[in-house]
Amino acid sequence: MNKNHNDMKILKTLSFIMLVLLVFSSNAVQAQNAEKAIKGVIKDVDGPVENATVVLKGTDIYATTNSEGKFIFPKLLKVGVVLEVVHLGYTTVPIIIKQNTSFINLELTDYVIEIIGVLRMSTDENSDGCNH
Amino acid sequence: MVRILFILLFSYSAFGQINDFAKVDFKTADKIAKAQRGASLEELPQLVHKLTADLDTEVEQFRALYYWICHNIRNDYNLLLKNERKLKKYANDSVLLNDWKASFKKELFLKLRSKKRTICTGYAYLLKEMAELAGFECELINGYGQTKTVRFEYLTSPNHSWNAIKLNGKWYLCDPTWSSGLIDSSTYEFHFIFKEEYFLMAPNEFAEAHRPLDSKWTLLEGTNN
Repeated sequence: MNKNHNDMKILKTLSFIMLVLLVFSSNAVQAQNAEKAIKGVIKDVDGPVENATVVLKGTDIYATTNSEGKFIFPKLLKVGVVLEVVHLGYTTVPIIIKQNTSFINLELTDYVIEIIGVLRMSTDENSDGCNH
Repeated sequence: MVRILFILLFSYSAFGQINDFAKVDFKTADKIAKAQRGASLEELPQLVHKLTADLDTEVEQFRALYYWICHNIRNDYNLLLKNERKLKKYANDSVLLNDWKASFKKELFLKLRSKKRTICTGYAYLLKEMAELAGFECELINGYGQTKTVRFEYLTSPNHSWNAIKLNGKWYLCDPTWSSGLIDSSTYEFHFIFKEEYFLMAPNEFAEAHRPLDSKWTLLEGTNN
C-alpha cells in the first residue's frame, strides 16, 4: 500500500517536473523565435546622418534615416539576421540582431580612400577622364 | 599559312578574358540597367537589388551594375582641376595637404551622391561598393594610366583608379571611368560614350595602358597572383 502511494508521489513529481520543463523550454524556443521591433539613430563624427539606408542583408527591405538620423525598421526581425547600414562615403556596417537588440545607436566612420585623379599634362583630343 | 595560324592563336589568347563569357548575351542585363536610368544613389542597396535580382549569372549581374554606372555617372573635369591645383599648392605643407585631402574626400562623396558626378577614384569606389552589396569580391586598384600624351615614363605618382572583380572564382579587370565616355578637350564637357572594351578586358591588353601600384593586379602570369 505504502509502495503504491510512494510510486504515485514519484510519478506526480516527475510529471510536474516534466510539465515545468516543457513550459520552460517552449518559452525559451519562443523567445528565440520572437521577432524584434528595431529602431535606432545613425550618426557620424559631425552629427546625425540623413538618408542612410538600413537594409536587411540580401533583401530590398529597408529603412531610411531622417534629418535626425533616426529610423524605424519596417519589419519585425528574427534573432540572428543581419542588417547593413549603408551610405556613400562611409564604411558599410553590418549589425547582427541579437536577443537583446532593440535600439541601434551607431556612429559611421568615413570610408578610407585615397583620391587619385590628376589632370593630364598636355592637351589632346578626346581626353577620357582621370589622368588625361 | 603558319603565319595566319599564329595570328589567330595570338588574337585568341588576347581576348581570353572576355572570351570566358563569349556566349553570354548582355542584352537583358543592359536593358535592366537602362530601366534604372536616373535612379538615386541615396538608396544604394535598393538600386543594387533592382539591378541584380532578376539576373541569374554573376557576369550578368556585374554587367548590369557596370552598365548602370557607365551610363549614369558623369566625369567631373572641374573636380579634377581643383584637386590638381590644390595638390600642387600644398605639396610642401603636409598639414594643409592633409586638410585638403580630408575636405576633398567629403566634397567628392557629396558630389557623387547628390549630382552623380565624380572622378576616376569615385567611379572605382562606386563600382566596388555596389558589387560588394551584390555579394561580389571587388577591388579598387590605384596606379598609373597611360594615353597617347601622358606616358608612363613621365608619371611620378599614381594618377588613375580602376577595378578588379571576381566572377565565378576568377579575377577580371575593368575600368568604369574609361568605359563611361570622354571629356571634350575644347569645351571640357563630358559626353557619355560607352566603351565596352574596358569591361573585363584581357590582362595583357589592359596592361598596355594600366600599371597598378600592386603588380599582382596585372593578373598577368608570372606576377605573384
